[in-house]
Amino acid sequence: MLMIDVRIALKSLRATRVRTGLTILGIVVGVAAITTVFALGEGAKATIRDQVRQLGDDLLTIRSGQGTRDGSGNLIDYNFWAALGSSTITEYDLEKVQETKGVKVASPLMAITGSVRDDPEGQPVKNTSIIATNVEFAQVAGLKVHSGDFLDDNASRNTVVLGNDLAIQMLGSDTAIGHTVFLRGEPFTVIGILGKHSVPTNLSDLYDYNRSAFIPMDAGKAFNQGVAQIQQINLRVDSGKEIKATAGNVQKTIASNHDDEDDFVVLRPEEALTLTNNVLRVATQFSSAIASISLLVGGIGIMNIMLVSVTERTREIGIRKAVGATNAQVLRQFLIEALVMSVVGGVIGIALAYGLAWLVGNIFHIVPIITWQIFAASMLVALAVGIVFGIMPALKAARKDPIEALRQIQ
Amino acid sequence: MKPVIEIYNLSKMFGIGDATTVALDNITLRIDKGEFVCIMGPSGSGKTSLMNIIGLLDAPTRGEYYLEEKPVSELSQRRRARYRRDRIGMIFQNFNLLAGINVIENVALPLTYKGMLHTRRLKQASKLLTTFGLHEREYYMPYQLSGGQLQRVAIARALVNKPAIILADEPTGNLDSKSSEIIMSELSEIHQKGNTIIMVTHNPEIALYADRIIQMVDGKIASDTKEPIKMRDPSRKRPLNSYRKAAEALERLLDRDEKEKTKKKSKRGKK
Repeated sequence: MLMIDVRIALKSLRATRVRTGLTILGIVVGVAAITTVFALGEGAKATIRDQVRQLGDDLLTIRSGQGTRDGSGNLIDYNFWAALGSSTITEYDLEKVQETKGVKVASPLMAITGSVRDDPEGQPVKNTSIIATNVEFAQVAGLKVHSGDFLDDNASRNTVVLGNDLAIQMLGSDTAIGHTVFLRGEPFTVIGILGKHSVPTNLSDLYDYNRSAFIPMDAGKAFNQGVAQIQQINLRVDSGKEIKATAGNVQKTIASNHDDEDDFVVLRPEEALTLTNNVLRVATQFSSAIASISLLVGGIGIMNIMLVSVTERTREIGIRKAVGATNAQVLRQFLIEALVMSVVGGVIGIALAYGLAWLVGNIFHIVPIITWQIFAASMLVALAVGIVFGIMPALKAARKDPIEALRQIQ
Repeated sequence: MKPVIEIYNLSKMFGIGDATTVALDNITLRIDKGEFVCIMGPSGSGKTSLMNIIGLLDAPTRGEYYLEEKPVSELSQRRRARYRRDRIGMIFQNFNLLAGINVIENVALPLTYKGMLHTRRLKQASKLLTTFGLHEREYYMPYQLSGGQLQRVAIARALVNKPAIILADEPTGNLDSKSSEIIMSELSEIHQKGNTIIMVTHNPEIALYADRIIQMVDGKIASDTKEPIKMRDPSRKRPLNSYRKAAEALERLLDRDEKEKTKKKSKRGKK
């Protein structure tokens, strides 16, 4: 019986190909949009999980701002707006942290806004960061030096280590040590160039190490009226197993420095990504909301076309009823037509989303992932649209008076 | 003979208040199994309203209707649809076939709603179409057939469920005389096999195929002539003369009625 209904539906849909096609297109766009957003969100999440793994289980990050923890000590909220303000973390904190029990190595990160040029008169290189830090940074962040050396406490103040991509773009080579580049107009000598950093995109740390210029803290302070503006301290602990205890020690150390003022957070590896995750979640929600609108429009399209169809086929409904179709059978026929359109639209939409997500993902360096859950969710959404927007026209068809219906002139 | 249809004091009104029109006025009627009844009358006399009620497409305003000795008023909408599907075969003036599906599917349509399997359905429809000489046209689309062929397909559809009654509303209204003759001989053949047929027509020639003629005027039964006749005298192709005369008399009566009406109208116009 269901097969018959489907066949009848397909037949009448085929009779009005262009109209059916355009209606389906509405659903295709809606489903594709939603699926793409989901797929990219899932891909981004996977990237982050991947990065946590790459960062290692022994990394702690100290940032300014306020964190909220639940009873068992897990971070449940992190007010990331504080990260945009001026930092509360000082060089003295760094010093004390380095002395804390369980801490293997700690390193500051001071981000400096400014231009990077290969020629004082030339155009600044785009998408670069200047990071002031100390010699331990390479170890803490897991950076490999490709040629030359990393920053050295004994080296002159105006030395710089370039990220791999930046070096190739500016100097045309990742071995070109000894060149002079200009940061905020000041000359710096390139003493080292990093190997390609393997974390594909830096959602975690906001900075792409492959496109960063690393300078000593002293140089960084010189750019900031002699004050260290440390955004975060990254540190490795002796043992990943005791990271929670060490995090507690570090917390106490800094708290005593800050007169117990709650103006910083110590983030464990998975928590370091809370900021990014928050942003990501908001972005995903926002984009799905927008994508849903297009699906809504598609659904209204289905309803519109079905209503026209019911009116046009009044006589057909009359004939079907005259030969014994019940109201339920007529309802089913029209509902299935709506469902066929929405399901076909859903399938095409998901297929399209594959391509679309891949394209968009290429731009944002995210590998989209369509899990079976996303597939199922998208199909369910398409089905729901078919039912919700198909039921009204189908009811209208089912309730038609057969006599009136037969009287309609074809 | 068992009654197939019993109607007692049945009325049908359309509209409300001052705009009410009476389509059927207190009709009582009994039709037995195996009868071939022809309902005649001028347009607006309530023929089609009566057919719609008998065919369970419409409900009476007042009165009782028993179909195969069961009171129809107690049937739910779903049961009515089932009755239409299983017990009633309808034939329309304009054939009312579905344009989008082929001949055999059209014939099988009532079986579809019965939930019969596809192959069994088509087999049954095909068997019926063969008896109507349309075996080779099974997979034609309706628009590829002539009017006479279309009506034969429609008759096949009406018969496919082996209904208790066949309702034919002006079955030859859209056909030329030759096709009409073929359709009518088909119908009388069906009748001879024991089917009950109720037919509405304007055409006295066509009415002659029936064995009972009900004349309707203004929603009432004006006359009910039952004259058992031999449909076809092998020596003559025409129906018997006496019956023919009766039919012609009816026609004259009709004409007179019509003329009187128009006279009245014109008088009113003059006033």
